[in-house]
Amino acid sequence: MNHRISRRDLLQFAGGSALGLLLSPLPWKLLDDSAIWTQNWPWNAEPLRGPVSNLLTTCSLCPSGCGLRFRCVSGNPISTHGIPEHPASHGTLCPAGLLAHHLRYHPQRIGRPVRLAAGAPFVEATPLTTEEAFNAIGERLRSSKSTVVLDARPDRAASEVLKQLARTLANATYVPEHTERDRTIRAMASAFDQQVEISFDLSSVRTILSVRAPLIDGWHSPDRAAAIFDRRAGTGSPLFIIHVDSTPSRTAEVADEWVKVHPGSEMVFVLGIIGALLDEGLTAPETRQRARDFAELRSALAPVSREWISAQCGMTTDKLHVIARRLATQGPSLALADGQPDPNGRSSALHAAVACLNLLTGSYRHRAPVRAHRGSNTEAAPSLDAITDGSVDVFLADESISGSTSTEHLLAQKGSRNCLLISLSPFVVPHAAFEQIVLPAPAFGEMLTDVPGVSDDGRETLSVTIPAFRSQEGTFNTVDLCAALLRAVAGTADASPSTEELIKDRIASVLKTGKGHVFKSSDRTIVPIGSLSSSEELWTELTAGGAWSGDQPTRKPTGSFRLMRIARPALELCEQERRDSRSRFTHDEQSAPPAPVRIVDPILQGTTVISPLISKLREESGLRPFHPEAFDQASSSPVSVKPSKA
Amino acid sequence: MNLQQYRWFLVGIVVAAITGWIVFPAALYERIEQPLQFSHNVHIGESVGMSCTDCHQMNAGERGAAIPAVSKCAECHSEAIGTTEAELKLVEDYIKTEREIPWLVYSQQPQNVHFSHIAHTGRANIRCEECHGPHGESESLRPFERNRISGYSRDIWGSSITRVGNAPWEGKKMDDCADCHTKRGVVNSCLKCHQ
Repeated sequence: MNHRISRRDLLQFAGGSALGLLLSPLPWKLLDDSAIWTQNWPWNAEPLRGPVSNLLTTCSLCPSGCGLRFRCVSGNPISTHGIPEHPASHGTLCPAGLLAHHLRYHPQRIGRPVRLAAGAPFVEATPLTTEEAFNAIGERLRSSKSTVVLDARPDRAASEVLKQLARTLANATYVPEHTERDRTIRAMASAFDQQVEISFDLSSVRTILSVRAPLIDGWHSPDRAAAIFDRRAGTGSPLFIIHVDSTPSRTAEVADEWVKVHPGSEMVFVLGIIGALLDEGLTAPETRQRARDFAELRSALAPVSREWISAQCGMTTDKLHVIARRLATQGPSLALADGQPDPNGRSSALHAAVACLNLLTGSYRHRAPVRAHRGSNTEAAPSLDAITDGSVDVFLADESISGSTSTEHLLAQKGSRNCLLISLSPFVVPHAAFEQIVLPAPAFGEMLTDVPGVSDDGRETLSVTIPAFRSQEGTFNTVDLCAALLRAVAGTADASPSTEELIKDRIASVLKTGKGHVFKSSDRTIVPIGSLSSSEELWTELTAGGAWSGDQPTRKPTGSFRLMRIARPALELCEQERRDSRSRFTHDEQSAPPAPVRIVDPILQGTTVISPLISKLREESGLRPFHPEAFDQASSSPVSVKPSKA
Repeated sequence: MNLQQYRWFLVGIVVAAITGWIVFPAALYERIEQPLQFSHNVHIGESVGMSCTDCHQMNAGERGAAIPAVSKCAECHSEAIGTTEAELKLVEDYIKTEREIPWLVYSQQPQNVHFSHIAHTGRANIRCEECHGPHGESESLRPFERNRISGYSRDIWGSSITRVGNAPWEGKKMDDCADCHTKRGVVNSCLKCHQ
């Protein structure tokens, strides 16, 4: 018998082994375990271990002032959650808030001053010593013929220090940055003959015309975005959203109708809607009575050919009329806009046109979404729009709270050829147009700041963000920056109050008014401010995740307004384009303009799973229907969290 | 058909099957004895009458909690009560030296998982036995079986190498948790567990 093992035998053995192994758990288990093994390299950071605690504070990444609970291990924040009973947020957090504790580790974070050439990527930033940075800044400020001190988060207690800096520096102007929502509000307010203050209340809107406004991500607070989702899902009053945009944004996907216009033609589109309202006599009766120049607006818009408007924006005149009719008859309606980015220089005209549209549809009437009340006679700070193009030598931008400015295109428009952008920010955010010197600020969670705001019903609000992390050495907050700049420019600087002192002063002023209520995060109650005995007590509440909101302003008659005051810039731009006879859009004249796309709602129909981050919003908000009962954590936990019932 | 022609093929199948079904599962896990023996049954029995929550904290405490600290044991065992070797070792090596017992946790989840006991026992009213089986009645602690490749406890996969025939409380992989969530109508989102 031949016992020699041949090559054929080996091949048979190998084949049999392969089949046998495939039929055994070995390869499958090995795959699973190997995958896990590759996720656990020794150099992966290990999470902390230690006592778990909660730190309640306020998110300051945007002016919404959402309540924020840091879950901490050994005192280090490891996750963020909403606070369900918080009046500003009702437990919601946006994706930025959910990951706010990661921001300090962002790869573009800086710990020392850097210089960056115009248009260079952030990796080419050149480190500077503090002395080098301030020497360079001082030299430019001394020689600057026009300096703009840009406050990316105005109305803070520290904003007063920036205003003082602008008054002290030569040729400097303090300019507060406005959100896109603010710009529409300001445009509307400017139409009134008396000084008015305006707020938008989306809860009472039935039809929204959103002109590029990111309704569900960033235009307003995450709580309002969650409320929009709920109304779309059938909870609460019905809501119809028409979103106007040249590209399919996230809001376009959620909207009932996405109106696809030619890029840059949004202002013309809005003028087309206004024209349709006027043509059909659908303007609000109160507007015809209170607008002192209603007839003038009609005359000014009459020569603008409706066919020209249709060709420019890519909408048929019939479609414009359909939308106009819906706004007029399916109200209360509200038009919103986002003008950024604005390569054509039309954003302020867009806001003006939208403001005019809101007045014509009567959005300001009683129980309507636009709340207008008599304002105080304070002088408004200039806006960036009002600065002469190409005139600014130095921008000094305090982006310490927001991380970056939201007005990059406006800066590019207003800066001179050799403009220097000095940023106070935790991050290097390259700007295409300017050389930059970036001074390091503490990241979110590393500094104390107040978060002032205005709620939808016009109440003033105030909360405080406290540090949850130790800030890095060598960083500057607003007060430090202003003192250092004055020393760099003038050689000396008067001692200014610290941020804490400024905020405490503000809190003391609020207490003195005796108006409004305070949300106490300790026991989730809302108490009249009069029940607090001292400003120290109010400080304690606000630095523990509480919030103050003032009394609702009394709605007094706001009198007459002038439509042409706000419509004129848009009409002039329109006229200029018509005279130039330029069509910026190359489209086939013979073909019909693209029809608007009706979006079948995949979310409501359950065919699409929404992003886990959005579901997290709904989870933490307590608005979801999956919590059948409230529960208390055991008493040894420092905070009792009770999700509110759906 | 002459099977002799394919004998090596059949040998290969048999060898691979033995390797895959017997040798591999045995070799995959290393058995490590717990640092101390412990009888759950004695503690919940009539003579002592304790319950799970007397020692295992369900509220937010130290990360990876529910395993009691040695101070909890010291509440009763500051001095030896009985004569067992395990208790003597507990008192001499841990309680008197105030050293934590380095328990090997059978249900230890990976570092990237946030698990809250109170959310399950308090909110969802899940009993301990539903996830931990009859562990609370054990007379002694079985060895900790550690997967040599992934480093996880065998309890995460379950005692059956194919996962077929696992008891309802066996297996704590992500899919097991997600399935239970789905059955109970809980929305799964990444950040729920991976904070």
